Amino acid sequence: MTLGNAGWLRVTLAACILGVSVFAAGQSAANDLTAREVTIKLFDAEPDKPVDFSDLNLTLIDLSGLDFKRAVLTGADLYGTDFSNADLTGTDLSYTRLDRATIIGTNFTEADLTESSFLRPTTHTDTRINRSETADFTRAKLVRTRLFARLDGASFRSADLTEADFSPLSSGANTIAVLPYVTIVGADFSNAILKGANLQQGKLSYSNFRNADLREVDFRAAELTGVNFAGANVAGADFTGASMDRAILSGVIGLNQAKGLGVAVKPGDEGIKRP
Amino acid sequence: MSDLFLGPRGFSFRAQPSSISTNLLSFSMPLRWLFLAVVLINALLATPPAKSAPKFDPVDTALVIAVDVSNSVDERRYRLQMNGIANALSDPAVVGTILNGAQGAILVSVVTWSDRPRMALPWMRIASQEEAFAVARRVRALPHTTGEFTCVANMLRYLNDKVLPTVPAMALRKVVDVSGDGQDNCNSRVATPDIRDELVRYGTIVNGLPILEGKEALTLEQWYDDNVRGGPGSFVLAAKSFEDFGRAIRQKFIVEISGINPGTRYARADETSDTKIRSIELAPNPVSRDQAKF
Repeated sequence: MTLGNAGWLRVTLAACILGVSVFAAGQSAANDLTAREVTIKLFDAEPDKPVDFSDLNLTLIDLSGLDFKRAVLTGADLYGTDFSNADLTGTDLSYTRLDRATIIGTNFTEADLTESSFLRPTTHTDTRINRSETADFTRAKLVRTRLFARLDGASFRSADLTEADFSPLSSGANTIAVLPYVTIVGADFSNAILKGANLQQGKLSYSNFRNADLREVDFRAAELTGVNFAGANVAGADFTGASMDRAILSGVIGLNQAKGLGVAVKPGDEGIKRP
Repeated sequence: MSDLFLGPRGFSFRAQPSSISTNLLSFSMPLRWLFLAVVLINALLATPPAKSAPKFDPVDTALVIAVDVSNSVDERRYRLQMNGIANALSDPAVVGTILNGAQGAILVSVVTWSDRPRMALPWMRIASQEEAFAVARRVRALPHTTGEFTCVANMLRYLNDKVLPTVPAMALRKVVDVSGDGQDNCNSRVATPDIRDELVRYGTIVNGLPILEGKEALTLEQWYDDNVRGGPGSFVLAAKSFEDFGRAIRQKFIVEISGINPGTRYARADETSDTKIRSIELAPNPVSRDQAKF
């Protein structure tokens, strides 16, 4: 049997298809890495060459305690993944799904969490909140991040939370919500940018917003007892219905442009430290 | 039969008439190069990426010492275990065994385990008596961490996923040394023998050192043999009590580090250490190095 040019063209095309198929099959298998495989990739990573886990399915695996060495995880599905005590410093977690992930003691310092989703992550080992277990978001980028969690005592110092959404999750008619509102009591938002963020109904008592950019933040019905707003810019922020007992408002910028303060800050309330 | 040779114009085929290779010569040059390019690309796609080089010189054994710190292990029992490990690591017979290995070096790490395992001592290299003493000092100083449950499967999962993939050198043998005074009581998602088998598939030897003290004393040795022990030349060597742990771990280290066959799968707690060590020294090692995976 001999083959003409047309025949060889067909053979070549078949080889192309075979090669692409084998490659694609290999890629789809790699989309479900085991914890061991992730560990090996991170361990073998060269300095200055972050491991690329982009768009991979890494759901429900135990990646606790790992040093991610500024890995790129953009677009990865991390639903239910255990990141307890993992070091995610400087990682690219933009556009990831981190819903139900375990983030006990996780270090997100300088991580990029742009447009990621953080719905009901496990944040502590016990209902008695141990603040040393709270994740660290210092200088992290949480632009347009959807977050619904209990993160008492977390550090968002100098973080960028522009248009972040911390509003309540809507539950079904017959659902009993264990965590009805985002709860971030005693957190540090100093120097953070929260322009346009939605903190509606958030429990944020005793948090520190010193020198934060709070322009156009939605604080409606938020619990802001004892919150430190010193030096913060609240122009355009909406405090309607917010509880602001003992809030510190000294040096606040744009207070006259804020909305709802007449409702939130009751005249004659001796607990409020006025500017 | 056809040969591939490099001619003045690159690769070409020398083929017998009427074979399929004849057709390679018969179709036009651009198609031929296209076909070869596709084959080459396919070969490249099928080639696994090269692994980065290990961080240290090769060692004979990478040894993980996994120590039970569950609820039943109080401070006294914890210290008996840690001092037993430290004394064994600095024992002249153990150090001699280390230095007499092909590479004359081992790597050691200590994992404490209960509800959650924890790397208590990261990988440390022992290639001299001084280094053995230094590691022993660090083991003695390890603070007592506690937990509630005896999660053997979780611990083995941790070793498989987090500890053994991070051995910082090529190791002739990878050995896990599990000690504890109870069976798994965690109801883990994966059964203990299943994760043990996974470790063995990756070339790890899992040895057991059950401590026969407490309510599980009568059954624990058999449970370790059924659920924990695995891999070529693996064995269970029981300690009669926490006080006996030091004797047992020393004996165990010599067998594990030397790689010699203990002779039986069991070295029972009621046998004297002298008897076992003599038999170990005399027995040639059927677990040859060609079985070991680098």
